[in-house]
Amino acid sequence: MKKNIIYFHIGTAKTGTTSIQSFLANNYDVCIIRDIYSQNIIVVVE
Amino acid sequence: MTHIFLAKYALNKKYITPIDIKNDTSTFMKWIKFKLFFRMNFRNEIKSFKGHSVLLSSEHCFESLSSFDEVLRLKKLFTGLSTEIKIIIYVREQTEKLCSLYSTRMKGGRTIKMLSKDEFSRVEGFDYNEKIKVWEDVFGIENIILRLYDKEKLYNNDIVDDFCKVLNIQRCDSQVFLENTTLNAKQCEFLRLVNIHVPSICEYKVNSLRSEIEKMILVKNIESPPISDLISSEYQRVYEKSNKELSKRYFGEYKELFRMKTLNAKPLVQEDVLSKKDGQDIANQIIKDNKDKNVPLCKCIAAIFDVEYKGKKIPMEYVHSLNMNKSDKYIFQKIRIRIKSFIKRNEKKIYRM
Repeated sequence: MKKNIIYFHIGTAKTGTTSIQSFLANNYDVCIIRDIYSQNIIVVVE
Repeated sequence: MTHIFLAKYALNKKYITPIDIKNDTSTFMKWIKFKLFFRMNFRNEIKSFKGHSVLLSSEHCFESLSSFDEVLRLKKLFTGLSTEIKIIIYVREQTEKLCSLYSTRMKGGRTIKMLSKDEFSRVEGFDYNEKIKVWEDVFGIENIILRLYDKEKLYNNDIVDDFCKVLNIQRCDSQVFLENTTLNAKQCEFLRLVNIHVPSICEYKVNSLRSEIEKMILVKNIESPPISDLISSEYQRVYEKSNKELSKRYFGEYKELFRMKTLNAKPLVQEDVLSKKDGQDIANQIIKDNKDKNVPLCKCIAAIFDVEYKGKKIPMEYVHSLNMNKSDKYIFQKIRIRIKSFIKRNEKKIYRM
């Protein structure tokens, strides 16, 4: 299935990336989280 | 969280990490295998998902990819997967980023001193204007969402709220996420002196002894000037023009991109920030807190800062006898090869922090 949008957050370093990623990981009910080789792929399912 | 695989996939040159060496994925064939396998699995994962949008987060892509070819390789990975790709980039004023990054590097086990103004002007990725242009050339400027990482400019003065606003996601939690602690100048210098003798990685694993020392430093209430006192206000002018050009492209006006904090006209001398007595006072406090809990830690600290442990001086030979440098040397040798080839390719002196 082709997606509407791929959002690609690329930082930069030292701009609260850890907080953003922690928020997404903690909100499992709004996001489905997949792991590919330790690479977190976060898929938003609104 | 450290995400390196997307960047690793797109890099022109093989990117060797300690994980590669540990897993023996450093040979060329294994490298090719990784690329094919990653591409196939990545695309299958996205394709099989039934939602309408996908969000990826990987700061390594911005920090590590520098050429058009590399970013284009990344774009090709997404071919046919979506109708639109939006790139979200947060940028932070470069001197603030330098201070924060320097603290992180000390926590990561590095031994470098604070960068000179010249080194600062050549740090890979600090010229946002130049670097973002590459992403514009590949994805189109209309697909770049540029945000400023400045508490006063973030939506609700919060990075997570701001990010949710960009994505149009309703935030339903009220959780406050702790930010990484930035060390002050004395903590940094203390840790730097420790790092010289106690590596962060040992036998391809995190060196728990050094991690313990780092934890001790983080919780210690040490009075000190901030790291920003190690640089001068002149540093703030290095990227001034480049930032203004970026401001013009994204915000319509050729003006300051960031609000500037006040910095001293003359920086402190790094060696003077932590006097021998300061170092010994901190070392004695750590030893006092850990006296019988962690003997190797106490002995290491005592040897490095020339203080007594249980009434005895500990010779530096004790630290060397722990033989902590073996694998570390190998890793850095490999990384040096990568950096050399990177510099040669760009024909420009680039400083990588």
